[in-house]
Amino acid sequence: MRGCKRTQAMLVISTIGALATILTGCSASSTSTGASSASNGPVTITFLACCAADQTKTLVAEFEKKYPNITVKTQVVPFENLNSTVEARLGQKDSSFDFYEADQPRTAALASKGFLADITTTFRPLADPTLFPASIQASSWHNKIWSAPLWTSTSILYYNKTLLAKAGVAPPSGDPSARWTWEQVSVAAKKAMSVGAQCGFMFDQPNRFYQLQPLIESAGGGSGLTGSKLLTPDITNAGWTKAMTYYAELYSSGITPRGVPAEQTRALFQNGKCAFFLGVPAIPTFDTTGLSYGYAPSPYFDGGKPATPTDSFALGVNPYTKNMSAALKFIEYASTDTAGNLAAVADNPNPTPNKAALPTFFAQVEAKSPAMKGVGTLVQYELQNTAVHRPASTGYIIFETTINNAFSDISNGKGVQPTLAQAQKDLIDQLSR
Amino acid sequence: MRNDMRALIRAFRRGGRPPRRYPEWLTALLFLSPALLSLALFRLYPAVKSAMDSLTVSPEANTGFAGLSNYRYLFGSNGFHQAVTATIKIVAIAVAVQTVSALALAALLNVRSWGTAAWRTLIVVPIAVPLAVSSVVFGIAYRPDGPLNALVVAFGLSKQPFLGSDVQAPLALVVALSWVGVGYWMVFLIAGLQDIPKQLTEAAAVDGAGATRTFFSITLPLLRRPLAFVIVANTVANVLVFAPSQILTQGGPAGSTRVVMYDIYTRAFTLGDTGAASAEIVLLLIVMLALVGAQLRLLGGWGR
Amino acid sequence: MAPTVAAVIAAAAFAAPLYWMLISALRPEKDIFAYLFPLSSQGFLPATWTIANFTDLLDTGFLSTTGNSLLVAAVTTVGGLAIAIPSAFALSVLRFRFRRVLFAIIVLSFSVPFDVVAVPLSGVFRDWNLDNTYTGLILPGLGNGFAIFLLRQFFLAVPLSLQEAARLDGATWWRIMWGIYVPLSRPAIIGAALIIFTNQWQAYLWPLLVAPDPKMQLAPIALANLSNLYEVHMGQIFAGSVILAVIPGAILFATQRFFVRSISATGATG
Repeated sequence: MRGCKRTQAMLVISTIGALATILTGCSASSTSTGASSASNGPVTITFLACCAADQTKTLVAEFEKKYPNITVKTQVVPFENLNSTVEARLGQKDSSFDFYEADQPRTAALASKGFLADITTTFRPLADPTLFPASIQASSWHNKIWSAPLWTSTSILYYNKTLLAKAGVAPPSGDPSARWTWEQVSVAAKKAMSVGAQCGFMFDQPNRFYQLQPLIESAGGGSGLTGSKLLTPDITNAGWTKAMTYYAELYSSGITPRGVPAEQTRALFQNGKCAFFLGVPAIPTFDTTGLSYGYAPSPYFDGGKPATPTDSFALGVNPYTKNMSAALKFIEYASTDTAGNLAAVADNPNPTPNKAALPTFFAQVEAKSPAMKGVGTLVQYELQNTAVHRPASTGYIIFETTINNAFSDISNGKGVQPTLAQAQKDLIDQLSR
Repeated sequence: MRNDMRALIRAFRRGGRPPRRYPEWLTALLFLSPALLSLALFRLYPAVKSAMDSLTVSPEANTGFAGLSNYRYLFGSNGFHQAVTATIKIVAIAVAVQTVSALALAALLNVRSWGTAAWRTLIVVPIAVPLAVSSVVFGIAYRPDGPLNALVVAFGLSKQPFLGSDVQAPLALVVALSWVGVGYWMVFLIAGLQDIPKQLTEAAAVDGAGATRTFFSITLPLLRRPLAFVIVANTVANVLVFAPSQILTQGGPAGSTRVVMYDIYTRAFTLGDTGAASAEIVLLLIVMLALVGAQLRLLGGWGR
Repeated sequence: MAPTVAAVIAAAAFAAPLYWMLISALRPEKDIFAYLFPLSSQGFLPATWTIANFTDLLDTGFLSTTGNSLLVAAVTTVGGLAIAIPSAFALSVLRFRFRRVLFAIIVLSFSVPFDVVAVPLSGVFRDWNLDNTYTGLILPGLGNGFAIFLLRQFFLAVPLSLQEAARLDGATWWRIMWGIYVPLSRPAIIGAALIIFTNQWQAYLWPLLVAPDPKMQLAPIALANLSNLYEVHMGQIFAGSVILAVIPGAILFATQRFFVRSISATGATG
């Protein structure tokens, strides 16, 4: 029976081994040929987008009306998984989608990994006359354009009129040249809390680099990445320390409540519990609770330059696509075509990068929301004068992940200097890979 | 085996019924083949691929052999140290808490009556809630200005930082994991308890043994095999889960909840460092192998 | 009496978050975060009720995604049991040389974290045209090492005398497995079914990678889609979670009666 046992062992092992070999062989043949179809017949293109499909419903519908030959299928991925799913699938050379929503600060990282198609030749002549230069720059890397800006952003300071009146504080002015300083905000917030406000000041997105970069830039700290390739971290300088010390004090003094994640911050302000709120222009839910609020320009540090965050998502083309021309038509429509860009913000209100569409968009916003009267002018001013871009570095994602963790630790009370120093060490470590 | 095969062939040639006795190992192979196929396809092949990646993919060596450089990098990395400490702490506490609680609740709810079906269902039903949602709910509960602190303050104590403290955060995660885990593991222990013949426990009662004595001397030893399953599977499950770390604390504060699986996920998907991620996977697998092996040996779960 | 009280308290503690999700789903979305702190009666019992969250959620096609999830989980459970039961039987009852080694290999390989395997595997599935298909969603969930482990532990407890008697009567292993072991192991089989079902019900990364087409979407992902950078529909998310909890909850409640004692170990069988 000994031969019997040896045979059974060999059978089992060889079955498993054979399967494993077949599979390794199979996966090697996964590269697809990116031949583009130049046909004039009906074409279907696939759009990898975030969140519920009805966020881009209007855009897709309007595009299909304009180009009846092209059908658009949408594949939807939850927001927090969008970036990683895109990278996972493109890393596998997936050609089953033709274009996707690409976060503008990731342009350098995505382009350097070969995840974006170079669209400069067809796109630049359309973009230069119609889009804000800053938006085009955010989609560029090494003097080439890699994606079509879909939205942009900025932030403004909302304030609760009732709470400020109760505290006897005069509301901040709407004039950008007379904007408040961060120091003034703290003082006013403390006064509001002394008359019963649960929270003095709240960020829309706490512990995120997008929201905190303007504070750091205004304090003179730079963007945090320096060097010719923007791969050298520089986060322990005086500006960073000043901004982060202010940030830590907001939490330690109780002005800003700890532990509120970004998805729940707006609820605090709209329920009337916060005196100040720093967020994107036009938050429709603020009008649903009978809140009496106003807005003012984003604050700055005394002695520094005013700074506001900007950029948002753009549409990038999958380099492995088989429908390049149709995909290009879509992204050009969504970005440079005025009607198209307006359709893009119809279901997802964000400031537009399109010069002609912006005033129309804000006219709609102001019509729906009387408290936001005049915000269009302010937004345009900020976009053109105070906007700071996130560093266009191939290591941006790594930088942002680590630095967000550092922000979170600082907001929870860890010492500013040691946390920044440790983060600096970690970044040097990770960026060198 | 040759004799068996010859007998088989002779039987078929005869046209009669084949002898009932196929060699046992052949039956076993047939019974096991779908599972083995699934294993090879969906676990072994990718595990092997990971191991190869850990030795070949590295920024220093774009192709070819990178040797142990990924491993050296990992051992020197601050994030990895935090990951190991956090994982050991959280897994040890979670396994202990969940196993003991599941056992206690199983003993409590082993009775068959109308009410217990309802209580059992309520305790088990958390497993049907998507882990992402239950994490968010616990996140809300743990907010410094949230309902748990409302209770704490109502009892006269001061507000707790919960997720903001590197001491409390891991414990808070264990609670969130146990809300789902206890009910789940309780099911298997109830099944195990049901398997114990009533005569044995009744005989002990007749002999004058109290409830606790009966439990420890009779019930527990007879629960050895299901308990072995629960402890081993519970350990593996707690090592593999990282959704709460990802959603509630992003590994913080100060890396106190940065479990190894979350560290791997971050390295692989966010930092794009395949080499180090693969190396970490290999290390994790080796440790799990040792741990599961040791547990099975200690708990006598190898069986016959 | 005391055990019942303890049981009720335990059940209440576990049900508390579910209760909170339910009342949050039944109140207007803007109220969900309004009564967290300090302790107030409205935190437990809302003054304003609405079913708007449920109707809005159903408008997004949530019923069909729940249907997808149910279909995929049900098929996986049946198929998974069909694979696990013979495997566990082979590893516990049949005698062959590498029994223990194979058991170890199976348990350990299924401990390989699927999340890190998912990405390259999804590429392979795409090449095989299994993306956006039910088959693609179901296949990886069929083999489950823990289900096999659990069933093996319970099969080991069945007295050998039963199968020895059956073998003497000339029964095949297949008959013995389905005729003797399976009926005796009902609680374990329900437990194994629970493992396989939960595994598939909670699956997130795999469906995300392999089936992003909205028609093939599964429930946990549909819920995640309700929050984006600027808006989070918490009310709808909780409404969806309540629906997702109630369905398996009802199934669990109904199958409790199958948790009956197996025949005692004296060897007396029909």
